Amino acid sequence: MESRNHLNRALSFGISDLALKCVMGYIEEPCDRGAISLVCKNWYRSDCFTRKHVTIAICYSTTPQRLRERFPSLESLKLKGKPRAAMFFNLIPEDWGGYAGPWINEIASVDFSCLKALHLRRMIVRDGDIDVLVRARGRMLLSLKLDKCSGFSTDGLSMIASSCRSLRTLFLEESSVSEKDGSWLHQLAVNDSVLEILNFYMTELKSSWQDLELIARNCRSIISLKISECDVSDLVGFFRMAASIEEFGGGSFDGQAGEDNRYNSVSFPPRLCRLGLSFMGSNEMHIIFPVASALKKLDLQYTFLSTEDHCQLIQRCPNIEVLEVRDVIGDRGLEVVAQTCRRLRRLRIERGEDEQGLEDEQGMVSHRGLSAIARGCPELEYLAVYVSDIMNSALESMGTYCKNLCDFRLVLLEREEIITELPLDNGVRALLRGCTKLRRFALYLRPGGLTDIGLGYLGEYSGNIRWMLLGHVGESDEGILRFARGCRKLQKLELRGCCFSERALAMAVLQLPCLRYIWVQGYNASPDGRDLMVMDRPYWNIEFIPPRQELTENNGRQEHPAQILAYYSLAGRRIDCPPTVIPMFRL
Amino acid sequence: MIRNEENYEKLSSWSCFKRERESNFGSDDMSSGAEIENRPEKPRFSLTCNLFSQYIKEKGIPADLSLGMASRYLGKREPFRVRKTMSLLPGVEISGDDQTDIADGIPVRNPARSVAPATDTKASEKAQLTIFYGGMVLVFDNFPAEKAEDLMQLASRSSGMVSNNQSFSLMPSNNLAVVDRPACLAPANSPASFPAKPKPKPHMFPDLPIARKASLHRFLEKRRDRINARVPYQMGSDESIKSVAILKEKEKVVSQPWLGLGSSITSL
Repeated sequence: MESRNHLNRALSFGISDLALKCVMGYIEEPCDRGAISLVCKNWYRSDCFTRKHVTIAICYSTTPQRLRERFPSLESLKLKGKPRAAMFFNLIPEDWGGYAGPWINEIASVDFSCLKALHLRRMIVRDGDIDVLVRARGRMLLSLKLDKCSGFSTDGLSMIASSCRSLRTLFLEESSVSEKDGSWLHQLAVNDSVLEILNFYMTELKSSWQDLELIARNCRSIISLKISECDVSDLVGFFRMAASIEEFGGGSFDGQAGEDNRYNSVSFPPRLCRLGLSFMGSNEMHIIFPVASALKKLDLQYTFLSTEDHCQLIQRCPNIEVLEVRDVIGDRGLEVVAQTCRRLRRLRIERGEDEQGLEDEQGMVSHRGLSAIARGCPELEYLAVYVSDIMNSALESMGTYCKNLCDFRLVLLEREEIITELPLDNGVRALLRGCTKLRRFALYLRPGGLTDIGLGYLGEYSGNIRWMLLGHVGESDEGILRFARGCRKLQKLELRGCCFSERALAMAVLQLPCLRYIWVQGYNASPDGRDLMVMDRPYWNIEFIPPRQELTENNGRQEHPAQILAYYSLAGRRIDCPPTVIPMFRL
Repeated sequence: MIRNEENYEKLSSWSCFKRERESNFGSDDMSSGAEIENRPEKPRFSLTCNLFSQYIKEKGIPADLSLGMASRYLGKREPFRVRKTMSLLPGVEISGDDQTDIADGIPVRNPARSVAPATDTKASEKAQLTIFYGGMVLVFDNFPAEKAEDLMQLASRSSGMVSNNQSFSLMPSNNLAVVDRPACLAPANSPASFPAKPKPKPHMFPDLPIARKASLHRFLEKRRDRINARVPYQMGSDESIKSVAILKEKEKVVSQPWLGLGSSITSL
């Protein structure tokens, strides 16, 4: 190895700048790029001028100025703001931070003249920021994604619609946008004839069928449209006109009982292969049947279908590669998936209604359904599932059959008091040993679900895992310390509801060689948090969110235990912390 | 840290003892809490209590075994309510001195630890301590009366944290000190140190429920609204659950044809 490194280094000096530039054009992986930039100053400079895309996993880990100085020719930038937990209801205070303003101001500077694609995720974006962005980059922008963002209104969208005339992708999924003026969609349809992907799925934005038909007429290359609520019976004209549409999501079914024929005239465009209809019920499901066999992706997360409906529908979809459902699908539905969908690559089974009587009673997912999936879907790469019951054997089956699995997430729900088999130590070990491609792994159990020994296995057999989320695992500090002896590539760790002390958490952080980010909620807190300072080191920001209480809708009180967030940063301490976030540091 | 190790040693000596005695029953290590829960035939709990009192008789109670037990169990079962659910000896963790006091007067075999020999305390002031808690019974032999009083004071102090505040009484009759205050020692819905009979609806982590994705949270709210709105007779009534039940019935009727169709298709 030593001699090979030496050889590579020697050769590097023989490569001309031109050749180096050509070669660099073929290197895209950020870690390869990072390694190249460490070879010598010349290679570093070459990387600086040829790097096309950068992802910044937490916007406080560096500064906009630093980014501009190092990568002035950047074409595409992805920036993430709030911690991942912000995707969940009420976990991270709304004012936590993640402001896009400083970044957008830098992007607007003359030096960033190549930027064509901007993806902001979980950030606060103001209308003023959008104004600055579209004035500076509006004509150049091909793709703008405001992904789970907040802080802007339809005024900002109108600015985008009127200025960004070459936009191919406008993505607003799950963003919280204030509705001021509904004309943005109309303006977009009129001004942007090259639009290919428009997504405002899971937003509260209003959309009219007239504007959508205008999009179909003016934007001939539109291939994907995901909208908020809009009655599907009003979209008959849109579907007829938008012949190039391959993906559709959203809509609603507002028909009253007795109007059974209202949706009979809906027919989908010929190329449609990815579909998700919100609020679809049993009576409307049949409108999918004509295209069912062509479907590659089906999103039933936001429907009213019962377990039986899922079985009926999925039986007709043998080509499904991506399936997203709630746990109402039940073990029975999963058995149908296992029999029917041999090409399944991604499966997400979300958590449904907890109140009894509001969800189909059969809708429970357990080891039975998981074992069936493991046997029936050998191509599976991604599995995220909320289960009501579990056994080691289900995880063992995953390890045996799902050799392509690279992302596995399992949450054990609180619904059932008695779980067939816990702890899951052996199952977890078998899964990790079998699925060697795993890069991401989440396991959220309950006390007794995974022992300290199980945590040791998790460390030992997770050699390639970069991201992990663990909830209610382990029995004592010994567990996290055993865990931290492994996990040689772990970069991001999220822990919730584990009994580890601050000292043990801090010691684990110091032991994990690649860890860049840790988020913890629910731990064995000390009165003053002093033990957290064990992990204090240069470039390591530690932030503390004290416990808070919140009034719930039914006048109850919800306790939010303290949270810790720590991450590497070249930017120094945050200066925009709200009162709810306390940076910790030594004086 | 040191104290934890000590506790651990004591605990493991107790688990060894327990495992030995239980081996006839083929039971697992105590760490598999769910395993225990899975057996509703319940002699396990009383068995554990019996074993525990045997253990105390034979080996003497180590000074702070109780603390070790509590923290170990609670550490697993419910790490964030340690103080609230200190079910056996509430408040022990708060005042360090009490930890050793509790064991005073109970014969301790370990010579290094037997600072307070049994002879110090009058035999008449010792009695069996029985704790009824959340459907469980704990029995301690030769428990000094003054310590029992301390214990009850601690319990009454800690019960201030819980809304339900019943009065308690010391009943020396039949040499039995009885503390029967189930609701005061811990919230009824929290898991206890020892598994009791299954409760109807578990709320294992009242402080830290599994979070729900914001998009699904919004959808399920809308779904509830729609379900309630679709039932005209029950509009505005509080009994939404009733209305839902009616709707469920309706949906079942509606979905019958599909069931029929389904079966005819599969039979083809």
